[in-house]
Amino acid sequence: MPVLDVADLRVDLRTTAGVLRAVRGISFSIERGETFALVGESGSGKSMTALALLDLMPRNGRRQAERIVLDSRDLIRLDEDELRTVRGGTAAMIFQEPMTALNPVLSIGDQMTEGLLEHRPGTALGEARRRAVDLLTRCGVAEPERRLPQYPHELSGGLRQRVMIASALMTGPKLLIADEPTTALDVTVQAQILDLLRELQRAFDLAILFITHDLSLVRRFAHRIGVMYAGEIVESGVAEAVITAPSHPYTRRLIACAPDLAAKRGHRLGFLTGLPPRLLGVLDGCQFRFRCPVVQAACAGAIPQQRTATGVEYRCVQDPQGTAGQGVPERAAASSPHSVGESLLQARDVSVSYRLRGGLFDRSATIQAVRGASLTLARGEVLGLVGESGSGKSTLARVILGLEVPDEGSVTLAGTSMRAVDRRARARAVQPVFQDPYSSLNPRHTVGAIVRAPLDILGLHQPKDRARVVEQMLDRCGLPRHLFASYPAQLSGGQRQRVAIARALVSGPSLVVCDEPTSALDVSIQSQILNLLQDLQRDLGLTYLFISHNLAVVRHLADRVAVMYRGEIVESGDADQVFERPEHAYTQALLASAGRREASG
Amino acid sequence: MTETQVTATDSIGVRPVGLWRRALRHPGFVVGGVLLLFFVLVALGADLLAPHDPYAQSLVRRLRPPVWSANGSWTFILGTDPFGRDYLSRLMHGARIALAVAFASALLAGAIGATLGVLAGYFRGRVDQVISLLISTRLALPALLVALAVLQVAGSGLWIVVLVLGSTLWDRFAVVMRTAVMQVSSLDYVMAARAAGASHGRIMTREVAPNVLGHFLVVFSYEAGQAVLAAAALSFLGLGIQAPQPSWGLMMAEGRSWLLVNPWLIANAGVALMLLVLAMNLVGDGLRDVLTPGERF
Repeated sequence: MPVLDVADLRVDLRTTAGVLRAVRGISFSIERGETFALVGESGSGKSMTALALLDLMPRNGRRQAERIVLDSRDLIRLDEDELRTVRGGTAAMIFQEPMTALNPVLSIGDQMTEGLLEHRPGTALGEARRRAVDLLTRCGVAEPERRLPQYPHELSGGLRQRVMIASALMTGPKLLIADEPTTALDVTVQAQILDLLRELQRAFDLAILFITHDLSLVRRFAHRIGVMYAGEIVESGVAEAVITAPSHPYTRRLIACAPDLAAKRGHRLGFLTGLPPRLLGVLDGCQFRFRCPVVQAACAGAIPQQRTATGVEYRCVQDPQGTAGQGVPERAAASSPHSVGESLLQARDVSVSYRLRGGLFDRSATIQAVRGASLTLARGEVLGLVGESGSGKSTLARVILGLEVPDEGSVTLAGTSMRAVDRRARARAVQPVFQDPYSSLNPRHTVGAIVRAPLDILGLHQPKDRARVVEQMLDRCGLPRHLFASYPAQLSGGQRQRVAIARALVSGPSLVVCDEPTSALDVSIQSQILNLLQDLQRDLGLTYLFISHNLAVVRHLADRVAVMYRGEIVESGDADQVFERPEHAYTQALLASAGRREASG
Repeated sequence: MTETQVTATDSIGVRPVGLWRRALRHPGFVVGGVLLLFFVLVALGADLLAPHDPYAQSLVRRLRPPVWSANGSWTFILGTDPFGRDYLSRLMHGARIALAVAFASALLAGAIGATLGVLAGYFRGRVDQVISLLISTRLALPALLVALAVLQVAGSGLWIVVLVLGSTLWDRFAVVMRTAVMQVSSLDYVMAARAAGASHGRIMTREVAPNVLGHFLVVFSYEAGQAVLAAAALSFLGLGIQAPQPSWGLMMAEGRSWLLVNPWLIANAGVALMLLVLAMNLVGDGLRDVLTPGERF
C-alpha cells in the first residue's frame, strides 16, 4: 500500500483576473522508500501541488480531491487540528531557501526540538536533544553537540540545508516533501545534499516527493517522475524511461532545451515558442497545443491517457511511434566555427578587496574578493568564467566593465588601459547583460526608451535615426513590435532579457559581459536566450565573457573556460580540454559533482 | 548564497491596475483626499466664500455664540471672537495660512532632506558617513526649542516660521530617501546605466528619481501635517504668526482665557486643525499603500 495516494487533486486560486486553475486534476502515488519527482517549469503547478497536500495554500486557494490518502488517513476528511498532527508529523517539508526557512533568532537546538515537543507532548527535553544530535550526525553534520547552541547565520548554506533536513526528520515522518531543496546551493554542495537524501531514504524507508524544475537532476535521483505542464501531469513513469524515450511532445521539447554537459559546443538547443497559457476560466483540450510542434485538430477535444510498453503514461492524442522524432529539433545544426582574431581584452593580476561596515567611527574589516586574477580574450571568442557563489566572478566582471577600480592589476581593452579611458569610450567598447531580468530594466521607462538611452548618452547616430536603430535592434533580439512601447512590468522574464540584450548591443560594443544571463529563467526560455546570444555573436562578430555557475550552459557556449575559486583563477584553457581533462583539483571536484547529478548514463 | 536560482514566471505579468483605480479603491485615501481638497478650496476661495471681513472688529457684537447654541444666529455661524470678529471668516482665512505654512515648510524640508538623502544613498562611503552624522545631529536637537529660540531672536512672521520649520523637519526626508535610493541604486538597471556611460547626474535624475518619487510624496504629506501642528504650536506660544492674522494657533491662544465660559473659541479652531492634519495623514497612508505596495517604513 502506498504511503501517499493522491487522486484527482485540483487547486483553484481566486485572482482579480478570475479563477486560476493552478492544479487541474492530477493523480499519483508514492511507495515506501520511493522518490517521486514532479518536474515542471515555473507556473506549472508543482509547488502548489505540494502545498495543497497539507492544505498550506495561499488564502485565495481552494483545493478539491477525490482522495489524498497519507499513511491510511484521508487528509481531505481531516479537520484543522488533525491536519496539524500530520504537518511536521507524518509528513515533513523542506524548502529551497535554507536561510529563510530557519528562524534566525532561535538556536539550532531549539528549532530542532520544538517540533518534536509539539507533536509528542510527553517527550523529555534531554531525549529530544539526543535525537537531534543523532539526526545531525546522520545528516553529516560534524560536531553536532557544538551546533545545537549555534544560530542559523553561523552556518554555511550547505550546513543549513543539512540542519533543515535533520529537523524535518525529528518526528519520524513517513513522507518527506522536498521543494527545490538544492536549487539555491552550489553544484558541489548540491551533489552532497542529494547523496544525503538518498542515504536517509534508505535508512528510514522514506517516501520522498521531490519538486524541481531541473530535469537533469531527476534522472539519477528519482525513481519515478511526473512532468507537469499547465497544472496537469502530462507524462509520468519510471524516470529512466521518461527521459530516454519521452512520449509527450512537451517532455521531448523540454529535454531538447536543456544543454548537456556531455555534448560539445556548436549545436543549437531545442526551444519552445510562445508562453505557457494563462489558466483562467474553462479550459478544454490539451493546453500544450498552442506551442506544440505536432498539433492537430483532435488536440482541442478530449485527451486520452495512453500507456507505452515501458509503462509510461502520457496524455496526448498521438501515438508515440507515429510522432517519435518529430518535434525534436535538429540538435546538430551547427553554427559555423567563428574566427578568432587578435587579443581584445587583457586583465593582469587583478585584485579587489572590500571594506565592510566602515562607519565614521567603526573599525572596518576587509574581504579579498579577487586575488591576482589574469585572463585574456581574443576578438570573436567566448570565454566561459565558471565558479561558485562568492568565488569573485561577478566582481571580476565589474572590473572588466570598468564599474569598479581594482586595488591592483590592470585591465586593457583593445590596447587602451581602462584606467585611462573615459566612461563614454569604455561604454562603446564593453556592455553588460545581467542575471535578474526583473531588476535590470527600469520599471518607469518604456522598452523603447530603455534601449534608446545608450544612444542618447553616447550621442550615436543622428537623433532622428535613433528610433529606427532601436527598432532594428529589438527586431534582431526577437521582441515583438507591439511591445516596444510597453513597460517592463508587462513583459515576461524571457522578453525582458531580450530587451536587456538589445540595450547592451545597440551601441555596438565589441565585448559583452554576460553575468549569469539565463540562470533566472526557465529551461525552455533559457534555450531561447542561449540560441539568441549564439546567433548574435556569430552575426555581429561579438566577443563574450560568459559567467555562469551552470557548467552545462558554459559547455554549450564557450570556446575557452576559466575556473574561479576563492578569488583566484585556478585553471583556464580550451573548453574541451578543461571539461575532459581537468587539471586542478577544484575543477575535477566541480565536474564530478555536476556529472554525478547529471544524466551521464 | 546570492545565486538563488528562483525560476522566474515566464507568463506575461498581469497588467498592473492603474494607480488611479487603486487609489480610488483605498477608503483612507479617498476620505483624506476629499477632506484635503475641501480645505484647499476653502483656503483658495476664502475671499469669496467668507461671509465677513476677518479683520473687522466690533465692540457691540463681541463673543456672539455659534448658531447651535440657544441665542446663536445665522449671521455669525460660528459666533464672534472677543474682538467681535466673525469666527468662521477667520477660520477660513486661517486655513490659507495653515496650508501655506504646511506646503512651503514641507517643500523646503523636502528639498534639503531629499538632496542629502539622495546624495548619501547614491554615493555612499564618505558622503554617506558625513550626511548620516548630519542626520544624527539633527535628530539630537530638540526641534521645537530651537525653533522657539530662533523665532525669539529673529522675530516672527509667516515666512520666518516657514524657514525655521523647513530647516528642522528635513530629517525624515533624508532618512527615507537615503534608504530608498540605496535600494534602487543597487539594482542592475542602475549598473547598466553606469556601464552605458551615463553621468551621475543623469543616473540620479532619470534612473533613480522616478523610482523614489513615491517615497518622497508619502513623507511630504506626513511632514506637511507635522508643519501645520508645529506652526500652530508656535503661534499658540506667541512666537509664530502674529496678530491680527487669523492663524488657528493664535485663535486658540486668544480663546484660552475664555476656556471655561466659551469653550468653542478653542474647540472650533482645534477641530479644524485636527481635521486638516488627519486629512494629510490619511492621504499619506493612502499614497504609501498605493505607490509603494508591499513596503513599509
